[in-house]
Amino acid sequence: MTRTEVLNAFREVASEEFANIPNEEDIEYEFSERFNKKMEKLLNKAEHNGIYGSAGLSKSILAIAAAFAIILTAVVLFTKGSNKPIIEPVTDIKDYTAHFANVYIDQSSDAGFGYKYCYSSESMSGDVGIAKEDGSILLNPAYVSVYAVSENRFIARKFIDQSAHSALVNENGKELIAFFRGEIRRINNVSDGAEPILSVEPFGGKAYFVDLNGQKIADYEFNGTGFTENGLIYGYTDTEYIMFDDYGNLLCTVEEGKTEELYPINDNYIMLIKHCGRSFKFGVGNSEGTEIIPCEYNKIQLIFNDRFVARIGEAQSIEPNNIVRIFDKNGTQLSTDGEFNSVVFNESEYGIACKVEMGVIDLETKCWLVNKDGKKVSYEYDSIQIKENNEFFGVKNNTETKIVVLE
Amino acid sequence: MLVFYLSLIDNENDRNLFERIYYSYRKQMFTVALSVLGNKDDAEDLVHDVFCNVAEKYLPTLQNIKNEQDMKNYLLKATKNSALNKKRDTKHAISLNENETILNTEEDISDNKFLDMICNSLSYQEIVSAIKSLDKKYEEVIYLHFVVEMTIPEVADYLNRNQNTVKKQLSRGKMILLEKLSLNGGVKL
Repeated sequence: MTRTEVLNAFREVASEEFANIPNEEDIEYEFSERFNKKMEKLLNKAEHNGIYGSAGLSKSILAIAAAFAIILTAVVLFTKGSNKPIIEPVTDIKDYTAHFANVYIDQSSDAGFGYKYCYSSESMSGDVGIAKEDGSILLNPAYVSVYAVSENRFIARKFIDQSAHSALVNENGKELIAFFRGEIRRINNVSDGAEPILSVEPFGGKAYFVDLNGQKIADYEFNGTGFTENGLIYGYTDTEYIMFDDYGNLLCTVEEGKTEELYPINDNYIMLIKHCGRSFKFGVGNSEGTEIIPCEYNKIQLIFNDRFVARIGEAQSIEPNNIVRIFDKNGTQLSTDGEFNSVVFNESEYGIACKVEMGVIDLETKCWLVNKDGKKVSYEYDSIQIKENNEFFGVKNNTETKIVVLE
Repeated sequence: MLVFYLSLIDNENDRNLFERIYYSYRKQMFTVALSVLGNKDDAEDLVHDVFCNVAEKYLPTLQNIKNEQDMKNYLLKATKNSALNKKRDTKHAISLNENETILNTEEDISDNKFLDMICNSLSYQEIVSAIKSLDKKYEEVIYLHFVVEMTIPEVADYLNRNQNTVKKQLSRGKMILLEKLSLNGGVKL
């Protein structure tokens, strides 16, 4: 056995620790503005001066340094280019579909929309491309990463001059948005049939929204963009947040600390929105314009047309400090604070309520069925799920039983 | 003059590397931090702290890492260790490690001899199995030293352990692994 193989053995074992962490492009998470601003400062500091070397050097000095290095030792490529992505109309189509020899398809992979990843290395590592399920190669392995945002539309990433560059490419490899230094990402929730909207974010430049052909949506440019748990997308400037729905329709503009009307929930209620500090908060107003539920909640859901379930806390996990409240149609609180950390209603007349507490080793969860007033109507379970015909099944001590409603 | 210019180029490389790893791993690092800390804000703060550490002292090591899997392991492990340190009493953890060093008295086997002896082992899978059966603290020190090619001071700083502790753990880890492989008949001690 060679030393390389021995080292690979150590590498294989070390890699198992993080084997269950999804790929970067598969993680749907929106970093907070606070984080983005801190990282922007760190990245800008790295670019301009202070972390590594002398401050205030002009590009001309770096160019001389690069030329000097080329002559003497290293090969350094220095390109001066615009950060602004170039949107080109689809006119000539290159044939990228020719099947290269030695392209390997990872049949176990999922690049989205039924596509697979392919590589030029049998070890399924290195530059990646896209293959169809039938085994044909759509995009040759030429990217650091690539994934589908819809059928025949892909976000591809390369490193050019050791900087991350992104592009929007079609099924022929044509760059609908040419590679530029920065990121492109899908920004909206497409589960309800909305076409994907992409956020184009040039490094050091203004962000904006585009459609799947790379055409700009809405005549706005932002310092940054994001999306909320509720499915709203937004862009922010120095002074305001501009809110859009899933389809890219403008909803409202929100200034810091001020409450605005977001959209009508139905004929009787209006969703309110406010941005304070780190996040958006939601509330409810009635048809007379009176705020009946204050803008304090991360999410508000109308149930049965006369109840509201409101949550303070993030959706990614049920945490002990999450607060859930149930209100009646006039905004009067019906539930007891601290009783539950999560309450979810779907189409059934009952909801699933959970309480989490720190146990000996880890968080422990307790669940109940509740009615629309937030009252428990079942015994306690370790977990509850709803199955076909809206029947609830609870698990207690690893035993699953059908839940009988107590009221 | 040349040294000055080359140092500038090195800094340009560092900057580009930093940017690359930021865009390639930030969400995975966040996922790891969140799994330990359980709180989104704390996880974001921790990821930022890790990137600050990367910018201030880890870039030379990262520049030497050519394997992308090693790069990923390095960053995610740094994140996990930072998150765990944030949760527990690190002073207590360090003092435990220092106590352990007093007990180690084995003669050290050189790195080259260690690798040569393993190369003569039975099979890849048996080596993998033996490594998996190692205590985590030995396995990670051996990985960082041999695969990521970090020096003992670098490993100690990275894992927030005493240098002497790391040295002893490396020595002990090598011996334990060889003992395990010899029990399988793959290595003659």
